[in-house]
This record gives sequence, structure tokens and C-alpha cells, in this order.
Amino acid sequence: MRAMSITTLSVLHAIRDGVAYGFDILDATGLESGTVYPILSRLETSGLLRSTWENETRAHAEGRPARRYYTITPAGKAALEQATKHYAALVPSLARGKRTR
Amino acid sequence: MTAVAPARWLVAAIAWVVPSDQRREWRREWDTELNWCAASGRGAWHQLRRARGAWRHAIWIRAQRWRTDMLLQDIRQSVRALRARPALTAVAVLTLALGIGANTAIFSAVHAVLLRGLPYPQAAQIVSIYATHRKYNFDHGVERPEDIQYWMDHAQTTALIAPIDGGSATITTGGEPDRLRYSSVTPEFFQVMQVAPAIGRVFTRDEVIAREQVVVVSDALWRSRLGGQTNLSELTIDLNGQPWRVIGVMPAEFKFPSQIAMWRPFDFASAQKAWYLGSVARLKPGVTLKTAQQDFDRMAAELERQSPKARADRGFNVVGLREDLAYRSLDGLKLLQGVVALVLLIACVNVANLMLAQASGRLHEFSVRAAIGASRTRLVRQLLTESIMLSLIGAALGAAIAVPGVRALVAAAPPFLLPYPDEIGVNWTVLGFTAALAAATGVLFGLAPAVMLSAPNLARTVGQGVRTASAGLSLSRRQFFRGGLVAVETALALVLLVGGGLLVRSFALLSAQAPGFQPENLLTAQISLPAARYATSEARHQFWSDLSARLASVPGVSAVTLSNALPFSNWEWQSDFKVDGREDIPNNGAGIREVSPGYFDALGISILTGRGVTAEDRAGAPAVAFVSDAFVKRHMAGLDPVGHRIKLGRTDPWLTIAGVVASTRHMNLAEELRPEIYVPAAQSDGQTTMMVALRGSNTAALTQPLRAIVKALDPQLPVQSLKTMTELIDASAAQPRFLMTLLALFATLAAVLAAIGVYGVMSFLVSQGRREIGIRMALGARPGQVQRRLVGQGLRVVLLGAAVGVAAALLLTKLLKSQLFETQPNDPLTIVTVTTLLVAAAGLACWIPARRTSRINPTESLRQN
Repeated sequence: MRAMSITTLSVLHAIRDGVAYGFDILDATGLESGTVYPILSRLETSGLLRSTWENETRAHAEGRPARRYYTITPAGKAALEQATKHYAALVPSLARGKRTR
Repeated sequence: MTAVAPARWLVAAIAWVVPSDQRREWRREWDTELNWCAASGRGAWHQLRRARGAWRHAIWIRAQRWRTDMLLQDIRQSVRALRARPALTAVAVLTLALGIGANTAIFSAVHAVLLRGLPYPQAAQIVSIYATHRKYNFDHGVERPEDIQYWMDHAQTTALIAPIDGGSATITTGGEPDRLRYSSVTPEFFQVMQVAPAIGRVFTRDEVIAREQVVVVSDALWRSRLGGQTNLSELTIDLNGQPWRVIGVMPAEFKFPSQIAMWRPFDFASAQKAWYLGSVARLKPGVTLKTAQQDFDRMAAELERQSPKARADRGFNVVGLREDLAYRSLDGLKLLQGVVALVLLIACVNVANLMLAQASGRLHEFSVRAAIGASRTRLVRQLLTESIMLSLIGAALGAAIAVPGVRALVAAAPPFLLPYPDEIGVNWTVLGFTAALAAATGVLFGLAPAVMLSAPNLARTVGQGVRTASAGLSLSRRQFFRGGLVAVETALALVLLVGGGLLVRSFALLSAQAPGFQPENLLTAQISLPAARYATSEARHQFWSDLSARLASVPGVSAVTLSNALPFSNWEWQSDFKVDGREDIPNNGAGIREVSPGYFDALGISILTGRGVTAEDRAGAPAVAFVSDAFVKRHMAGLDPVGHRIKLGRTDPWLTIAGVVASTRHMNLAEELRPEIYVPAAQSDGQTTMMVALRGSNTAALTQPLRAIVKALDPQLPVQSLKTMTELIDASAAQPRFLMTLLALFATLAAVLAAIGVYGVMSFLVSQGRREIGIRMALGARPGQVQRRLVGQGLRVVLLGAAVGVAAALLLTKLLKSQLFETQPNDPLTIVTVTTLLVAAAGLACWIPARRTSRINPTESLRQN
């Protein structure tokens, strides 16, 4: 399996922390819409995310558009954990590299 | 709150990029995104920037779809292409099915015998140890107890060594009396194998020393004769008329040594010096086979140093358990797997040729596709998809062929060639192998046409059209390539045909060998008397003479005789001997047979001088012997044998030779005629096991009376190995027959495939060369001339292939040497015969399509072009 990119990691991380909607994910990660939406589609295709549409009548009753609601799957959690470990292991060595220079 | 119009329009425009079935949902998501943007108070510029991101999302979705679509499209187009040419598809699928089916069937056996995990923990550490002798050229001999004891004391690489003795016993519990094989083992045996009984326990050292009659039985015996009874406390079985307490049942998968029904205690400490034993050992953890062998070599060298004369040329052979179990099947299976691999290769070449033929017909289609922008990769992929689909269909059919194929293989194989036949079958591993084989096959035969057809200059042919693209009677690059494939195919087929031909010739020579007696109309059986109940020599002689007398009175029996080792019964007794006056001449023993009166007449062995065994040769009468003429030639040259004295062993009394008889073969037809000594059974101690031979015109009708008479004499005696002499002789040639049949079958298949290949190329050449043929004929060439030219062209390729094939065969058939009888691997007769046959078949395959040229009307073909 290819290593997860840092942008994908941050999207998955945001969703794991309960940020569930496209618009909010953009805000939470600070990424471009053209980056986030393909990532969401890709993660959903590969089974790391699941999505459902909100009940439309309820959203209308609350006077707002219905939203697509993303949740992380167990496979997504596992992938996130693995990627986090990978980067966590990388960071100290990067830091060391900086010090010696 | 709604987003600004330009942002909405942008998203609406981009939406067209998204595949239609996903468009609505995509729009909904992006509209929501923009609306939320607006609702959260972001300005028009910000909304537009957000909308711009929709473009990358749409492109991503479209690209995804392309990837899956194109594969589906490839498959759809492939199905269409294959269905458009049903005859070609059928031939290709059938060819592949035969190739893959043969490979799957043989691989099932290879997997079961050589690859499957053994049901013993750390089985790689279990070894068998054999005696070797450089001068007599054997490496799987049995060992003497004192050598095994020496290993136990001095081996540095083994953790445990377990000697194994064995024999057979008559069981009378739970059914008709039968003779079953058992192993006598020490308690260490079960520790070496590291397998505990499924029920009960194994015997203890105390039980071994006390010689208690306890036995551990196999799962099969426990189920068939003991009714699968789980409470062993009261369970006994009768062996040779004695009760033995059953104390354990081994798991079903425990089958070592093979074909063993039970394990009895063996007191190694009191083993007699003369015994020869098998042995199995567990190596210490981490010790490799090589290290262990070095350890045993060291011990052999040490023993030789201690007694140089007795130990010269002797050594030990450490063999891994798996290799040991597959010892007899290894060569045969490797040979067969190699042969079927060649058959598959021929099938691949053949299908590649067929694909090329059909691809040439599709040149126009591909040229057009390339011209309107299909990339080379795309075209290669399309053709590869077609070939992989073909091979997958072929593989499915092949697996279906392999299932009955494996059954036929197991049924036809001699028992020692495939140990554990019930474990051979098409399972998931085998199917995985088939699938991998199919994929590899598909790529192998699909790659050549794919590369040829998608050549970069393809687009140029569009303008010229297909008709002028063909090169007529001279070989174009493509046709040259196809010619090369035919040559390869011919060469491969010839290798197999030479191999098959050699085995057929060898087997014919073997079958033509005379056994030295008349094997027709002889029924044979083996009967063993339990020593406990037939303790005296008189009791045994009485039984055998009663049996002979009763059998002689059965209607339809023209002769009855008994022997302790009938020819081809797989029993052999050898003895040292001395010829009076020639004591100083060394000899390596002769076959010794105890026979009853009328033996030579009953078996149809000619008496050359003197007389045969009669009823007068009883105990107390002058001791006599009879020898074969091979014995006289080898050991009594210049002597008058009748009346001369010989002696068996060193201490036995002198025997006077009363007759010389024709020599026979004893173990198999391939062996030399035997020096043999016959003595009257009545003058011996009385054997516990004898073989009976009945001569009668209808041997099938004699089976029942034989069983009935034995039962009447002693209801507890089993009649074993009831077979006709012809069956025994056939069984002795089972392995060569089996290999010959399979190799001949596969070689024929290969030859047929090669002929189909030649036919395909010639048909193609003729159909593509119509224009040139038309011109030649318009200019006055007669059909006969054109045909000769075509056949000549085809045959040139075939002959080239044949030459390569003969050269390859000369190299490869050396591997067959051990399987051949009186036939050299480079036997000129076989090579010339099969080459002629193959070239003739190929010539025919050239001539049939060439003949069609006579039907070509020159004006018509010119006008068409």
C-alpha cells in the first residue's frame, strides 16, 4: 500500500475528530476545495470513509441546505493510525537532520 | 441562502465532465458546498474560488470511470471478437484446455507428493538413514542393529534415533481373515515423529522390555475392523491367533511408514545381530541435512578405520522425510511435469499462431483504430485481454478435464509411484496453480500477436488496405515470425515424440522378453500359517500336502504346485552356496526356491537334463537339488551337473543335483536369466508362508474353490494376493507401462497440435496469397507447380524445426536413460521413425490447404484484388 499523503492524512484526521461535512473539512484543514473533494471521493471508493445525505426535510425545516455527512470506517481508522505512526517516526529524524546542519 | 450565479454556472458547466449517472449527486454536493459558503457569509470571489475546485473533482471522477470502463470495454470487445470467430475460438480454447488440464492433473500429483506440508511438526528435521555401498551401487539399504547403536552413541547432529522393524500378521478380528503390515518400533519412534495418538497412548519402555502384547493401530484399521470404538480399555485384536491389547489409535493423517496398519513394541536392545532394520531420526534444532550427512560420513569413516576390510565402500545416506516418501515417484513425476510443460508450451505456440492468423485478418480494424487515435498500449491491452480471456476459459475447461484426469492417473499409476493416492486431487492450491498458469499462458501466447499487430507503422497500412499488405508467397516479416513459431512447435513436438517413441520401443522389447516359463492359465495365491498354531515341521508339511491334494481334485485344475517364492510374486530368497570341487571360486549367491512335486511341469519350465521334483523327494530320502541352466553356465562350466554335489550356506549337508531346468526371470522381465537352485519343500523344515500355483483353462472359476478349500482346512487363514501369473508379470512392468502410456499420449497430443499449427499457417498463406497465385496461374503456372511450391515452403520450416528437434532430443532423452530397457537414448530407428512420421503428418497438413489453390480461378482472384 502506498504511503498516505499528508493532505489525505489531515482530511482523515479531521473526520475522525468529528468534522463531518465538506465545508467544515475545508475550514478545519485549510485545504482547497479542489484538493479536499477528490480526496473524499477517493477515500470513500477505497472504503476508508462512508457518507450519507442528511434528511432533506429536516434541513429545510432548520432553514439550511442538506449536507453530506462523512464518517470514518474501521479500515479508515486503521489506515489513519498506521499513517500517523509513519509520520510520527519520521518527524524526530527530520528534526535531528535540522540540528546537525 | 444561495450562492452567487457565476459560481453556480461554473459548477453547472463543469458537471458535464462527470459521468451522467453520477452527475446528479455530484451537483448536489457542490451546490451544498457553495450554499454553505454563502450562508457562512463568504463573498462572491471566495465562492468562485471554491467552485473552481469542482473541476479537479470532476476530472478525478471521470478518470476513475475511464479506468473501469476501458477494462469493461476491452472485455466486451474481446467477447465480440472471440464470438465472431467461433471455430478459431473453439480450437484455441480446446488446445489450451488440453495443455492446462494435463498440467493441472500432473501438478495435483506433484503437489500431493512433493509440495504439500507433512502432518508432522518440524518435519524438515525428520530424516531416514540408509546404508550405502559404492561397489554394489545402492544407497537405500537397510542397516544392521550394531550400526544403529553406533549412531545412537556417536551421532552429534541427531536428537533421537528410532530403529524400525516390520512384518505382516494375520488379523481375524472384525471381518474375514486378512494379512496386514505392521511396524515394530521403540517408544522413541513417536517422539521422533512428534505425533501423539488421537485416542489412548503409545507403549512404554517397561511394556517393550516385558514383551507385552500391546499395539497402536492406524485410524483406518480402527474404523474398519474395530468399529471406531472410543473406549479402549477392553479392546483387543487377534493377530496370528494371539490377542493383542489395543492401547492407542493414531490420527487419520499419520501414515508413516506408508501402508502400515499398526505399530507394535520393538525391543531394540535384544535385537539379533543378523537383523536388518530401517531407521528414522530427528535432527537437533537448526541442524541441516548437509551437516547431518557430514556427521554420518564422519562416523562411516571412523568405522572403516576400525575395520577396513569389512567396512570398505560402505557408508550412510541421510535422506529428508519428504524426499524419502517420494523416493520412488520423484523421477517419474519430474519427468511427467516436464513433459506436460512442453505440451503446454506447444499449445501456447499453437494458439499464438492462431491468434496471429486471425489478427492478420483484423489488420484493417486495428489500422483504423490506430488512425483515429487508439494508442499502442490500448491496442496491446485489447489483444492481451482477448488472449487472457481465451486462456481463462481454457483453464476452466482444463480444470474440469483435470478432475477425471487425476482420478484416471491415480487408478492407472502403480501403487509405489504415487504414495497416499487418496490425498491426490484437484484442491484450492492446485486451482490457484491453474489460474496462475492460465494468466501466464495468456500473456505468453498473446504478447507476440499483440506486439506484431500494434506495430508503429500500422497506420500506413490503412491507405494501402489489407489486400496489398499481405506478401503473397514470399514470407513477410509477420509470416516469417509465424514460420518460426511452426518450427519451434515442430521441434518441441519432436522432442516429446522421440521420448515417447523410445519408451514405446523399450516397452515392446521388455514385453517380448520370455519369462522362462508358461505364464498363461496360472492362478497364484499366498497363504501364511501362524507359527503359534503350526509350531512343528510335521504340522506345516501336513497342511501343505493336504492343500495340494484337495486342490488337485478340483475339476478344471490340471496341475497344482507350491513354492516359497513363485516368479514375479515379489518374493525373493537368496542363499550362499558351494559347488563340490569349486569351493575356492567366490560367488555372490543364487536364488533359492523350495518347491513341491510337479513344480516344473505345473509352471511349464523345461527340464533340460535329469528329472524334476517328485513325491519321492521326501524327508529321509536322499537330499537332492535342481539347478537352472544359467546356474550351470555360470558356476559349473566344464562339469556334468547331474549327480554333482552342491551345498547351501556353509554348514548345510551336501545335495546331489538331480536335474537341470530352463532358467527363468524372477522379479521382472528386464533382469538377466537367473542362476537358481530348487530344493524339494518336503526335505526342508516346512515354510510358514507358501505360494500356490494352479493351472487350469479357466482361472477365474478356480478362485472360489481355492478359498473354500483353505477355509475348510483352517477357517482363520486368509488367502492373500490372489492373482493370475499374467497379472503378476504385468504388475512387474507397471511403472514402465505407466510412463510409456502417458508419454506416448502426450507426445501424440503434441504431434497433433503441431500438425494443426502447420495447417493453420499454410491455410493462411494460401488465403493471403490468392492474388500472387492468381497472377502465377494467369501467366501459365499449373496448379501442381503452385502446390509444390507451397508445400515445399511449408516443409522447409517443418524440416528446420525437425532438425532442431532432433538435436534437442539427443540432449534431453539422456534423462530417460534410467527408464529404458535395451534401448539407447539416441536409438536411430526410433528417431528416424518418429521424425518421418511427424514430417509426413506436417506434409499432409501443408498439402491439404495447398490443394485449394487448384480451385482458384486466376481471373476471378485478380479481379477481386
